[in-house]
Amino acid sequence: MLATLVIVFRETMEAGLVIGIVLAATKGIAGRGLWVGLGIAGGVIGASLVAAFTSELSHALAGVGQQVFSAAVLSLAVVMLVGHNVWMSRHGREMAAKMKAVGADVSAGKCSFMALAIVVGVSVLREGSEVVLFLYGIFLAGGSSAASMMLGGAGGLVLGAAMAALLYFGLLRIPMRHLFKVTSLLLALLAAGMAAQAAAFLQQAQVIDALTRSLWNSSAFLSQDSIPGQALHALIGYTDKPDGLQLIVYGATLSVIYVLTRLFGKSAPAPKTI
Amino acid sequence: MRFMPLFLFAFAALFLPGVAARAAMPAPYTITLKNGKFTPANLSLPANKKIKLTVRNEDAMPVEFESSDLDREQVVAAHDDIIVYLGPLQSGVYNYFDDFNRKITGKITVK
Repeated sequence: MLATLVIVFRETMEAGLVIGIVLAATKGIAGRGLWVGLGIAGGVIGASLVAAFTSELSHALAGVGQQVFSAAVLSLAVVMLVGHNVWMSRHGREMAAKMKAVGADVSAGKCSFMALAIVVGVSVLREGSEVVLFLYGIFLAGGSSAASMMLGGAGGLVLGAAMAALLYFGLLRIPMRHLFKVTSLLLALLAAGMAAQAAAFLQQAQVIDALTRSLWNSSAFLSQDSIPGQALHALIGYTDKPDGLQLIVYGATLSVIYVLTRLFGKSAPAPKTI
Repeated sequence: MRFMPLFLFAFAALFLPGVAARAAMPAPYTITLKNGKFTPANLSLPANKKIKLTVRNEDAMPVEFESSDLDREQVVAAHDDIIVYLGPLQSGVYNYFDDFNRKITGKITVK
């Protein structure tokens, strides 16, 4: 039971952390619960589909279907995150100001929060498909241990959700006028990490066959297999043996977000004081 | 979300030719999981070569072939197989395990 709990926790933690950031980034926005809920629901449905078609996906595209699919959904999430950050650079300040003045929910651009719902959906889909496959395997195996293992699985899900809550309430301690700056930075790092991971998947599939030598190995310092290593991997894309391409993609994503938010953020009708 | 099909198309146009063009046929190897054990428990692979590794799961439980040494993480459905493209690898010992049951482990020795 404990083993099942740890496995399910490991898989749900990553999605949980993303949900925690997204909830903090949409603090005080009317209807965000619906968007995040839709993202989670869509992710769970997608995860079940991916789990059901694991074999077909594995054999697609000369055996690299899993990796190309992962790279595709991660890239989609990255585009959504970049879009959201650019939008926030324009509207974040006025939103924070409005919330402070009115002290209530404000309505905000639907499109931008649909983007974040897609990011949540992608995270749940990626981690969830493994959970579904794993729990389905236990269910199939049946026997007396199946019930206790399912209980462990439920416990793992609860712990994963607790991580989301922990991060969310931790972030809410940040004063309102700084909150969106912090969440935008976190979302930018999340985007960079996801982009680097997408690049890694394309390298694994040998679709991209360049700069594959790892530049350093910090696994002795912080192993990616450890729970903190995995949490950092989910949050900022920590990798203990990054290669050249992953590093370049990581840096390029951050640069693109920086330049775009500068470019589009400036024309915003924002107050002069920053 | 009008640009979604466009995005997916651009993605396909960029990367799918690469899948087709992955021409140079790498050497084939196989690891089989049966009754909760990987065979061979210690697979020998040549260094500095591209490898096409088939991981076959003959058990009724799905497994996740995972290795941080190799930087790979792929699920294998029950009674199914996957292909893992590796290399060129430097010589050394690479550990792997089933992430769904971390007691099931194996290693690859590259020399």
